[in-house]
Amino acid sequence: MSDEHTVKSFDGEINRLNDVIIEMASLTKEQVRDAVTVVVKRDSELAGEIIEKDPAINNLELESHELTMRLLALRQPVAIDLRNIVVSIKISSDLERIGDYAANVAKRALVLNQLPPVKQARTIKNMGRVTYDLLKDVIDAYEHQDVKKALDVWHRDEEVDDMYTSIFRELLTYMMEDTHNITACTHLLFIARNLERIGDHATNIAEDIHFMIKGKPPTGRRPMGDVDGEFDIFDH
Amino acid sequence: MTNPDNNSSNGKPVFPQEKIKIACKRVNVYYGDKHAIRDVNLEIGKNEVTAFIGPSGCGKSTFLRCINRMNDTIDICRVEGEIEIDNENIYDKSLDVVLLRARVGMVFQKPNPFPKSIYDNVAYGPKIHGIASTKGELEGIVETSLKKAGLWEEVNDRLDQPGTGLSGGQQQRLCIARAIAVQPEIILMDEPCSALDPIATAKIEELIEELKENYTIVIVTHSMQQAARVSQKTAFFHLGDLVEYGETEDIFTNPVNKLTQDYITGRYG
Amino acid sequence: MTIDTKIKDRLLREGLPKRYAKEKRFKLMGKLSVYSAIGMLLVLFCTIVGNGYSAFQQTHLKLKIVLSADVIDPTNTHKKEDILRANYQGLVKQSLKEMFPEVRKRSEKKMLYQLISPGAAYQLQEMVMKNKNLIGQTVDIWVPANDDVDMFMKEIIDAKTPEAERRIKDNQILWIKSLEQVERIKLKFNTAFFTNGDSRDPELAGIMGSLMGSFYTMLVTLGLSFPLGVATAIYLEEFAPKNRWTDIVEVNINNLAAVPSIVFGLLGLGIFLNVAGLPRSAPIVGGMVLTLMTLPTIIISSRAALKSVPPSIRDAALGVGASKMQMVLHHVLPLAMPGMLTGSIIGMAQALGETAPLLMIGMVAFIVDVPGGFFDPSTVLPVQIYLWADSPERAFIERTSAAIIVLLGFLICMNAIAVLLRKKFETRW
Ligand SMILES: Nc1ncnc2c1ncn2[C@@H]1O[C@H](COP(=O)(O)OP(=O)(O)O)[C@@H](O)[C@H]1O
Ligand SMILES: [Mg+2]
Repeated sequence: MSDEHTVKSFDGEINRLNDVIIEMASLTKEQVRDAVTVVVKRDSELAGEIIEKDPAINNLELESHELTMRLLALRQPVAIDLRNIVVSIKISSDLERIGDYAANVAKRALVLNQLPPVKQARTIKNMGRVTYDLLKDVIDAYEHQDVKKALDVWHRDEEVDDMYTSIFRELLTYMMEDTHNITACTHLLFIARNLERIGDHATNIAEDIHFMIKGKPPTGRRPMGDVDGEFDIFDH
Repeated sequence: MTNPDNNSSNGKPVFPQEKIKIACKRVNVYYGDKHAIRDVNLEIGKNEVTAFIGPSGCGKSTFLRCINRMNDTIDICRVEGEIEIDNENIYDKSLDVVLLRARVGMVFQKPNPFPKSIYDNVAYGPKIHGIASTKGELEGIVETSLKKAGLWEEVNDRLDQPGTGLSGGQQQRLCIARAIAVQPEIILMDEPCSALDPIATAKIEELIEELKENYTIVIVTHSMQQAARVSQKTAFFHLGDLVEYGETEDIFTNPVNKLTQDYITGRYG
Repeated sequence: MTIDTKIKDRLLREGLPKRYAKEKRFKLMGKLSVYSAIGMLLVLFCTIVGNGYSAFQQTHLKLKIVLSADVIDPTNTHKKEDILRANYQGLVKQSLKEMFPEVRKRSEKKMLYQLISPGAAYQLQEMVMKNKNLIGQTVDIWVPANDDVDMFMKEIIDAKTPEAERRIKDNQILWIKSLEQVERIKLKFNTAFFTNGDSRDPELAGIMGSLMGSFYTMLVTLGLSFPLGVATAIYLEEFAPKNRWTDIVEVNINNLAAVPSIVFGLLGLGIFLNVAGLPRSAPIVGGMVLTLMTLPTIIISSRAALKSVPPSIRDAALGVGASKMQMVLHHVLPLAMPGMLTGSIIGMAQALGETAPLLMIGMVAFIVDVPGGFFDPSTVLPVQIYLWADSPERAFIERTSAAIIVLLGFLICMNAIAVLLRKKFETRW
């Protein structure tokens, strides 16, 4: 935050909360990166690690919630502090969700690894990289209170959505060509779907950052989210 | 949470003409050479609670006391500019302060009941203004005032006992009853809860909430939480300047000015 | 800069005895000064009471007097002038002669007559004037003895001193002894001291004259200085603008309080007597002079009392729309009243004990009659004390002290009233 509070321990508690969020963010970032690697490299061992690490994120989320409750109860924050704390709650649950998607990707990759490789994994790699960059940038924006960067992420989410749409079509065609591919392709489809969701959550985080700093949500044209929202019920 | 289109310049709320109760225009206050209030322009809405916040010595009380001309009692104090109540300049030569104070009641920081009976405390104002013509009428006014101040239940069996014998919170409500008894249009409160415990404070806040139906209330408070809880509009003063004025919600979620932000988030000084 | 707790503890412990010793010394000094003050007071009281208590008694002789009609009312008309002019002195002498028939010589007779105060004749006259039926009868009455006899009876004149140096002679002592045997001489309560005015004869001198003088003077002083002082204080404190002019007034009031009181007497002489032509020695002038003296005290104490009324009460009154006058009369004045009263009473007590300014306006005269009003010539208690202290007669010494006792009694009463008033009117807020 810009200046220090008169009560120093207030600063301490807020910084602690931000640290937890940042720790959670970097852990989530690694998970997403590793998940994409698992899909591309068919590395079952790494997939196991991802699944093992997921509870850590959940624990961090719990810790951040505790800190938030404490701050709200004891400090009655207002204005920038209030926005910072409220946004922390939202970001932490976004991150937790992203962690879950990463773990889900790893699980599906484990299944994929039992099946013969499918060439569309390469397209997934591209999409994974873009999603990862999005996440990385939004976390950077949070760490450095950078509204411009957050806004940039917010606009770039469209890119991921477009990639998802094209992968969706590609896999659909592939499955129609050869019914044997259906199992693998379905998993890939879900993986792509998960990545697309991660992008959406990153966008949410970007919005939150904007609100935290500016006191209002970003204005202008909202990037299109789910083209196929009706599939949402399949998300675990 | 915020609606930027609602704000005019510097986030000041805009009232429709008929909603304005008090309009302050280029108000300057000096204590001798000391410039205590600088060029304050401010409009206060009818039947609303407006809170003045700001660090100590920023001029909140000074400005509040301009509204019922209590500053007249300070020799070295000089007020410039115009304050209009219902479009009538209260600093006009033709206006009588006694009449003004019958329209604008005041409650002070320290509960200050007269060292007289509870009844006499409340009856004093109506008596000197000749509001009640009979004894029965006066008793009626005392009763309704005490009821409005939420004190009737607690004191109706001991109206003849000294007001100074009540608890701090009760004393403050007695002072509110005393102010209400004159049937003012505006009630000014200068840190009315600063000497009270949380329960007594909550009672006063509840009372303010009820009173706002019939009165325009301006309250100075040191407690940001209190301003946030009771007021619809909040004005932040700093070193005699009106730094920011707006919807209480906006001030406490997203203040426009950095000074305001630093003050309300506890980064001041 | 942190000190090891052990070292700190040791340092503190070492310093402690010194600190406590200092405190003890201070307390001791305080006690000593209080005790010495009390001691002085006791000495003062003891000497005054010791000297003065005997004045509350007076030696009286019981005489058998024949109120013969030939002497008192020869025309038998009960005419007032006759009765007034009758030779009571002769009747008293006659009575004494009958009691001591053996006394024959002229010089001895004179000494015998000296046992009785000249006041006895007046007492007889008064008695007869009051009850004319007594004419022709024989009465047994107590009459005051002469001051020397009184002194002898109170053993202030010692029988062992050589006769030449003694104001009471051997044969007189013998007569007194014989009277004592028949219980015709004894000490009785001295009513005359409280009912008479001043007199050259100590046994007839009383404080009533000066007491009434003091009373009238104080009445004038109170009546003038309290309203004036309070009004001034209220105006200066509540209404006057604070500017150079009021500053000057304030400084001057404070200076007036320090002006020697005799200066006020000079002022009274110059203005009230010479210019305004008011009567000399009158309580009205005395009261006006003392008003000048007490005014500053009352103004200062009243202003302090007004200042001590919390501003929150003023705010409260103004806040409900009281005018300034209403604020002052309804709220400030009642709260300031005890303080004002205390200040005034203390000022009055000061005035009661004042002599110097009154000397200047002639209240130091020898006045026998008890004054009946503000314009009658009179003295006041402290002046009376001063006059008696100057008199050569031995018997005036005890009367001086007795008068001081009375004056002190009054002062104590006034201070007690001040305390009571403060207690009664004090409101806590
Ligand atoms: N009676 C007075 N005489 C001189 N200066 C005053 C007086 N009252 C207030 N001030 C000055 O005016 C400024 C504003 O005071 P005030 O209105 O009481 O502040 P607040 O109520 O915001 O704490 C302060 O700097 C104070 O020193
Ligand atoms: Mg104040």
